[in-house]
Amino acid sequence: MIDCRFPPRWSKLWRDARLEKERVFLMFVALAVSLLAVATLVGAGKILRREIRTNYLSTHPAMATLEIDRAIDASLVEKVKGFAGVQEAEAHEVVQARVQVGDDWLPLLVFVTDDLSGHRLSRYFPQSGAWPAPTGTLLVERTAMKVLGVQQGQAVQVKFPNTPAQRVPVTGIVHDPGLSPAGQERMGFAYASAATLQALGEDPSLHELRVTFAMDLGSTAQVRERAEVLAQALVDQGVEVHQIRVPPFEYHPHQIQMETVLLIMVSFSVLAFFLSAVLLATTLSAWLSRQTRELAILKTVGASSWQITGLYLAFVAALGLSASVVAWTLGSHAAVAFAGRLAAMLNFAILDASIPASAALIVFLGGVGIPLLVAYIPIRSASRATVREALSDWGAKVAAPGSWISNLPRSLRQILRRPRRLALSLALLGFGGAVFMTALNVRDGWTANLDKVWQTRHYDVEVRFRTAQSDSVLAGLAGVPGVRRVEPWGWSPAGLARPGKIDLVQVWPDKGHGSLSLVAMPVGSALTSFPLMAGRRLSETDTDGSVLNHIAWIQSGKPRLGEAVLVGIDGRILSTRLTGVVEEVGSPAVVYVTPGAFARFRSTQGRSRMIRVVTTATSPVERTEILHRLERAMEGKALPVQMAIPFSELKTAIGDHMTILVNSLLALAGIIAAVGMLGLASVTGMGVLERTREFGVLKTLGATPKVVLGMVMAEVLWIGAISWVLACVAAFPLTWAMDALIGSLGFLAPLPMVIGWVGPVVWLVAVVAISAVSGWIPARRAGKLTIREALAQVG
Amino acid sequence: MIELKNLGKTYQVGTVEFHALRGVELSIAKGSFVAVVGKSGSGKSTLANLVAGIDRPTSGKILMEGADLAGLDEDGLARWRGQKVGVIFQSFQLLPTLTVLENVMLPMDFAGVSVAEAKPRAMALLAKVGIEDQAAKLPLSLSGGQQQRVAIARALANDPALLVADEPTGNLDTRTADEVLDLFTAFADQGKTILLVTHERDLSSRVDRVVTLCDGRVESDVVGGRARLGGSHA
Repeated sequence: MIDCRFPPRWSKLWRDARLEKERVFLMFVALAVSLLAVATLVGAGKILRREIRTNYLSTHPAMATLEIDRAIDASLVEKVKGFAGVQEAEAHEVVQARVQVGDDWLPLLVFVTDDLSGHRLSRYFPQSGAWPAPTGTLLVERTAMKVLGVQQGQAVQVKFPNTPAQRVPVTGIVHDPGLSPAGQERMGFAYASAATLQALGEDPSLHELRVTFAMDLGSTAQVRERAEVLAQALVDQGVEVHQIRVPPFEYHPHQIQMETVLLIMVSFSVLAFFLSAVLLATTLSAWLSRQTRELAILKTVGASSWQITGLYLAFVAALGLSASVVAWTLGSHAAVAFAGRLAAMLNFAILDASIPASAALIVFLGGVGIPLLVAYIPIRSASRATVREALSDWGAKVAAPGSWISNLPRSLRQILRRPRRLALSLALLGFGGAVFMTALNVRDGWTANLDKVWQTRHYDVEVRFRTAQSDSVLAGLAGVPGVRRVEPWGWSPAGLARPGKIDLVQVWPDKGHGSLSLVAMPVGSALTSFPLMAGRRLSETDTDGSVLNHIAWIQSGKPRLGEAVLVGIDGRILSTRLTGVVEEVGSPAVVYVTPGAFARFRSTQGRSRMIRVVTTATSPVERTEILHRLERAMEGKALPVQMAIPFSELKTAIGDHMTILVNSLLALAGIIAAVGMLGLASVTGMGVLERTREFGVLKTLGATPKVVLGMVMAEVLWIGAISWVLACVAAFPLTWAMDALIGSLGFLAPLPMVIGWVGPVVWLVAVVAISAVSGWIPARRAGKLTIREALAQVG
Repeated sequence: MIELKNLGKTYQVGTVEFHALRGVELSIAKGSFVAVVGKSGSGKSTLANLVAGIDRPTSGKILMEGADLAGLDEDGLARWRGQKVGVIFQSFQLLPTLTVLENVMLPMDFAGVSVAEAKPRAMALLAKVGIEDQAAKLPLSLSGGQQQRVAIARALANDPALLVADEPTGNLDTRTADEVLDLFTAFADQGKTILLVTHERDLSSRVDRVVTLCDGRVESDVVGGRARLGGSHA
């Protein structure tokens, strides 16, 4: 008995697919590779979002911190615990010290509690060494060990605010998932008990009252409201609260950074997948075009258009499903590895590497659904053709004599014979090229944005002092060999003030993320050149004017020019009118006022808390030497340095952390290019194959194989050239949109729009090369066929 | 009963209109064997396409058992064709990737007949046209005559009442063409209505009627030898 187990229509589909196995494989590879990128990034994103939250919450972060003017004792803590709605309360302190690393002095944040191992808020976890640390010693955060260049058991040279530099042993290593990595911040993180501070001769009193509230559904606004009520109650009882700090609710300080990186990568992987789906639709369209007469036969024997549509949609679904299975199998492993890499970069641990089922659902639904959606149009269009149209299909339209098409060059007329196919091919290549160029442009825009950090700052080092110092003493530092210029600037941590209310800021416990500063910029200073976004810069006469950097402008609710901006420090309010807004990449929120206004408000006439120093250095080594001389000079003048930030180090630190983004974007651009080129090869190859019979006719009329080859090459190069122009044009709005989206999330301002030349040139070379090769091979094959063989070809 | 009322078909070729059929009036009784003849371009293939529901008229009506085909959409027409009409082409139009057996099973598949039921039916049809031993082969490995027999078996798959054949012997040698025509005669004898489009004029002895088309119009409609011998209805 003859073997025939399946309904004939499925046998036909299966055998046709086997005949087209190279193209089916190509469609599968394109889908699987781009879907692998999607699976990796979606899976990693799901792990990372869950784990960053789990890690952060495992520290029991304080919802609010109240800065109290006097030392917090146990009775105050107990009293606060008794307030309605307060879940937990504890006294903490963060001491801003300095630590010597080689010849440099880096900032060192020392987190202090009464009981190192027993505290319940802002916790950290022992990794090795002593637990709790013996009195007189420090624990160091694991990411800070490398920054400090220290091993457990060794000692570090530390300058605390009130005592001379002293060596303090490091007896243990801890992991603090609530902090961003020390390397990224270019500072050290250490932990000490109040008893240790006392033993080291420092003030052991704690001034930060950290609290959590009992709430069902928390939000930053709700926490602010409760913190304000609590602070006011304390004030009413005679406790002076001079600032409330409420960071975004249950949000890790680097969560936005992570989300931005993930968004960029997921966006481009999804674009790459869409491109694969378009490739599938284009290839399928060409395949269906070759099947036109067979589809007509199916309809002649009774197949409805929906039966045919269902047949090919089932094929697409099977292809999408197989690609999804492969992508998920590999992608789920890649996601864990990628998540681990990013987590290590952001200093949190992957405690649970399982990928939520929703990630698989996204991959499988997208992997099957998107190709179905994109392929539906060509499939439906082919299956709806009437039998007569299909049976009389000779493969292309012919332009009527005298029409505009008939006036075009012959090779252009040829590619216009199948307008729908041409549109799909151009969409595939144009979209692919545009996305490829956009990926490179976004990478360049991101780099250019970070370059603004150095391009807009024209000094080598910024030094902050614990208290305001005499300008004349500071000016004397200009005499240090190699120092070209010293400019004293007024500086103070501040908050946006609300009249009648306690200052409230959204700063995290590291005092850096989310902070706001009031800065007196010397009028006409050439040390910064932040671009103006609105209004104008300050002049001497702007005694009540202020310029906000874009972060402060957004934090303060985007006031209009001329509107009031109130800045609060230690319970006092400085009332200013908004004069201008500048874009300042690489800094937290800053409110700029004139030195006169600052001095009046802070009573610091003739004194400053910050200097910006320009050196004569022409090399990093020379700059380091000058900074060391400057450090020694400041020590000689007994200046209480809080921190000194050389910008060259910051540049290296940020640059290092850009690597993963840049490499990932390049990898995604590579995938996009590969998918686009596979599409080009497929479309070109099929186009030539379809015309084998036509070439036979041409040869009958005397065309040589060389003439046939020339015709094909001219046509594929036309398609390549038109798609390249389309890609270049489409890259503009796509780059603009991606720059706006990514910049707004990552920097609160659009990325600068950089249109690079590398993308267009690489794409042009690739398009020409692949067009040439993918047209030349089948055209040469067709040219070698005898006329009889060529005329025997179907279609 | 098939009734063609004032049937017209016009094609647009560039800016020029080509009238393939003009005001054709024709009635074909159930079970009759009708040959439509005419020169190339006379409109006979267009007529076959319209009767088979492959194309739609520009004007006039096609009534099948009193029902107007214009009332069916494309999918309705496809279903109707699958159930009621068997179409045979000059160039066979077999699917090259399916075996002979699968080609014959195909219309049954689209009509919802299971493989278990379709397979013996298809084998029986292949036996009827004398090529059951070729069932497992691919069409391209068969001779032209054999391929046309497969096409005829496929056209009979859902046991349609009407067979429309457009130049079914055009690609065959004389002896094979005769064998194929014998098959049509046998089906006509079994009660099938057959519309045979051909350019050959010496078929009158085999058919009930010979309708001659010229420039899209019915030039003559004469009774054939089969009717005169009482083979069927004219």
